[in-house]
Amino acid sequence: MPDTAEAVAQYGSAVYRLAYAMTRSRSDADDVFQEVFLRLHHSAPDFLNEAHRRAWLLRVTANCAKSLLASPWRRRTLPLEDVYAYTDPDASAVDEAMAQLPGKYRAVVHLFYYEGYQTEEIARLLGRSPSTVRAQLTRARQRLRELLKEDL
Amino acid sequence: MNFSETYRRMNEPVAPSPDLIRKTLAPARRRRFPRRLIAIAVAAAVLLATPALAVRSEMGYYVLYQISPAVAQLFQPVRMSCTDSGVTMEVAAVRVEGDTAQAYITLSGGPVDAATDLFDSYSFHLPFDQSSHCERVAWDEAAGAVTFLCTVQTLDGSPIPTGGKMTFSVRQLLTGKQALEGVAVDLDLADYAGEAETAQGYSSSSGADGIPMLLPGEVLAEPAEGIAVTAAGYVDGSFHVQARLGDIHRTDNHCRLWLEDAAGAEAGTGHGVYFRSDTAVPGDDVYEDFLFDVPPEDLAGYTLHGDFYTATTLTEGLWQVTFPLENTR
Repeated sequence: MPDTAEAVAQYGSAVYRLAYAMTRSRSDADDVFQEVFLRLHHSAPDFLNEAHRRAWLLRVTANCAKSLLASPWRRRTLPLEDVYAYTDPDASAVDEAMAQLPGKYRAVVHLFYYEGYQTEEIARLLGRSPSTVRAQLTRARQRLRELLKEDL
Repeated sequence: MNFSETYRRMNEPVAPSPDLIRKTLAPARRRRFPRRLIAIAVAAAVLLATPALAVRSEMGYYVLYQISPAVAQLFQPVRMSCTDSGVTMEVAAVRVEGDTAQAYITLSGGPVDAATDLFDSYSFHLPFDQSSHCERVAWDEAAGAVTFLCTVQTLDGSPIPTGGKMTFSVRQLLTGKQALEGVAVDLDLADYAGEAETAQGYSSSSGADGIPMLLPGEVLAEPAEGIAVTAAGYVDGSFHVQARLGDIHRTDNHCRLWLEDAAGAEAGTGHGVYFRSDTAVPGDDVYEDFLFDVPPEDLAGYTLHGDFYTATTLTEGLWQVTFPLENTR
């Protein structure tokens, strides 16, 4: 069986951040987080190395968050305490702009700008073609630039 | 603002709570088993109560899929081709090997062309956890058909389950796409070294923050179909060049403009600001002003260049095929 506690300690924050970036809800991110590590526990995949384990966890996170976003029973309005609030005006503006992107674009932006993956790696990780990821990143940047009036 | 730095900083406090970690590491079975039982019971109830809804109605199918993908796919009838808005989607071939299934799916008819883009509107429905993607792989000029390769892999590396079915759906097609990169724009910049008029009644979608927009005028240059330069000049010490992006949300038209000096080096790089009319209705044009930090007296030493991406047609509909996950002969 995989050492789930060790995986949570090492990759828990990365999983939670991607889940939150996609769902924009702490309670949804909580659900995704639990589901991801439950799947790790049950499927016990053989990982070639740490990079493989990290990529697997992020891929499952993206899939779980995508399923959750598609659920017709997901709450469309969220209480204030369910989201992170920022006092810094720049962070607040970026947060507001990110909220207006579709979840699939938020995943690409997060993996590119926060996790530091290249578009080919993001494509492998999300199971999309590199050209799709490049197009989604371009469209996300275009939309963010429009919302933030900033060159990204 | 540095987007990358700001985004990193705002993510630092985002982390799982100690309580969440404790609950996650508690024995998993306590949570998993009842959820599955509930899902199966609800799926059975829906099926027993309204089987026709689940099988024949699109909404019923999607609702059932959310409850139980396996049941939804079991009852989804095989449909190897589908025509909507004059465009036909067909399953050309299916190959299953180990943990991977691949399907070649063609689109033909209507506006379909070699660069047809599914505009991120496609979706996969399968009875098991998977990662999937779709890419354009071929264009048959004689048949007027574009082929997409849809690839599905089980998430845990187990073999593709036998007897399963896959549903592939598309809702939008973007056609007539063209990319013109590194194009010199035919505009004598020295003619625009004076102050320019600004527009009222426009704002960027989140409030403009005091950045003025040039008053759109007649077309000064049209480097690509659907994208025109409609104004240029100085406002508050910055050199603005305005591009009009025709029907941006249906064409995905976008561009990047920059200045080059005589040696071909990029100079005076600025950023773009989008504006739309306060009374905009769907289909209205969007304007993007590019701002450059270049003094008027230096303007004659620069030329305008750009990358332009356009499309002519967005076709909306529902193209959906369902096929068994088994090798075709």
